[in-house]
Amino acid sequence: MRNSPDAAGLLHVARETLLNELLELLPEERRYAMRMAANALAIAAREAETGEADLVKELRLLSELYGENVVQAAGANLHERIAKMNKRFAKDIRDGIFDGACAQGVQALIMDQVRARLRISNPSYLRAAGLD
Amino acid sequence: MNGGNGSVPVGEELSHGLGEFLSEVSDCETLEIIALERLSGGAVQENYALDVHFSSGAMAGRHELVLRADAPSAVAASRSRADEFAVLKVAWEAGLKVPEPLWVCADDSLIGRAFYVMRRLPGDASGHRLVRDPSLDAVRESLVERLGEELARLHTIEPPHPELEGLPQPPLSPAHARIQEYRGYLDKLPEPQPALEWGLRWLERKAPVSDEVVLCHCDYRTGNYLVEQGELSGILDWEFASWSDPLEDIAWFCARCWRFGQWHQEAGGMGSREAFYRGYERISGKSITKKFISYWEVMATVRWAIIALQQGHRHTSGDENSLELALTGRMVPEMELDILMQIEAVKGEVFERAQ
Repeated sequence: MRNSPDAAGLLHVARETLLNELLELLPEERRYAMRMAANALAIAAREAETGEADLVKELRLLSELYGENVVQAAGANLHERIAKMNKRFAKDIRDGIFDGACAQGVQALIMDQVRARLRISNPSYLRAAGLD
Repeated sequence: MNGGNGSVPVGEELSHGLGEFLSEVSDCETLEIIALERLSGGAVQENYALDVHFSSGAMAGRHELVLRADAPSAVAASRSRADEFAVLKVAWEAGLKVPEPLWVCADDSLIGRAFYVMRRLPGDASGHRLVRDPSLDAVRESLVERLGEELARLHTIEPPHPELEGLPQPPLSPAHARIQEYRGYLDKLPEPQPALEWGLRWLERKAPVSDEVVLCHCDYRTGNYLVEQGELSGILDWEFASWSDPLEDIAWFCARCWRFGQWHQEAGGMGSREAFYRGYERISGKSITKKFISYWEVMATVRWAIIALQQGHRHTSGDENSLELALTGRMVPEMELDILMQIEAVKGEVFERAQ
């Protein structure tokens, strides 16, 4: 068991401190760097909150495409399997394996991967596109 | 050229070799380097504001110049300084609004790297400032129309060209050449990129036959031209110039990624697409085929995504510890979403000239 607050909680409060207490002390030309730092903390906090849920879902979608057995055999754990299966996925796309009938399903899978990453790195971009 | 935030003075060794060179090329025995200061911006090239007083010869008097050299850690993929100088010279001679190129030094023993010297032009190149500057609101349409005209003038230059033999051969299919180039960049990066592969495969399957191959700037966008008192004062950064499909330049200028947040101003965040096209079409005498622009805008977004990946990799590989580079790497899914939506928007479009 770990102490509270958790990683996301710490990152949130660190970000608020930067923005609410320290930003105004900086000269104008240095504020951009501080805002970038605050943005980095926000991304890290969302990633910590997500845990491995996005990766578990991604692997499930890849299993639907390639079959459960193939994905299981690709590695010993979640991260190895994700890495190995995405490498194969990228190569198969380049080789034209998914040009035909399954193109729509594959595009939907890719859209799902992209949305999952945007929910962490820039959810407002996703909202602006009406795809949240 | 506007240096943005602050400049960095350079050492003695640079100005020593430079003095000898300037003296020789200007046929002037005594000259004084009054100022030599690094301008900010430019990760691959370094620009220095160079003020020189020549005591005699054709250049007698004081001149405000720019010295452009490879950065010490130059990366591949852009032209050599000598090739860039040749392109700039051809553009200048064609009457384009560019800084006048003066002298080139391909010998890297003088200041440690190849460089060339051009005249310094006044103006602001900052995309973030230009797209928001309220004093430009009244002239935005005429500015982008002018930018369209200049681009059309550039595109009248065709291969083969005796002064541009240093450029890579004109590709038979500019689209396929780019796809191959971008896959090569992806192969050098450690992580697979299914979304970008999807975009590239789509581009490969839909690749149109190019009507023509001409001299392209290949980085023609807001941020790479100077505006002075509401007028275009110069087109900069010719380091990527190549023989390519003219639609590639038009699409790069209009792509979402170069609007600096001013999404509704489709021509580089500065003005309307109609005004940009109007200027282009008036000079070229040809109408722009919109759906091929859509194709090249997907290509533009893929290119920007790969640049962002490469920048992120510069941080994660340990080459250059930088918060800005790290965050740029995290922007990639934004371009990926754009690519998927752009592809979806032209679904069913018949590219009748497709190969």
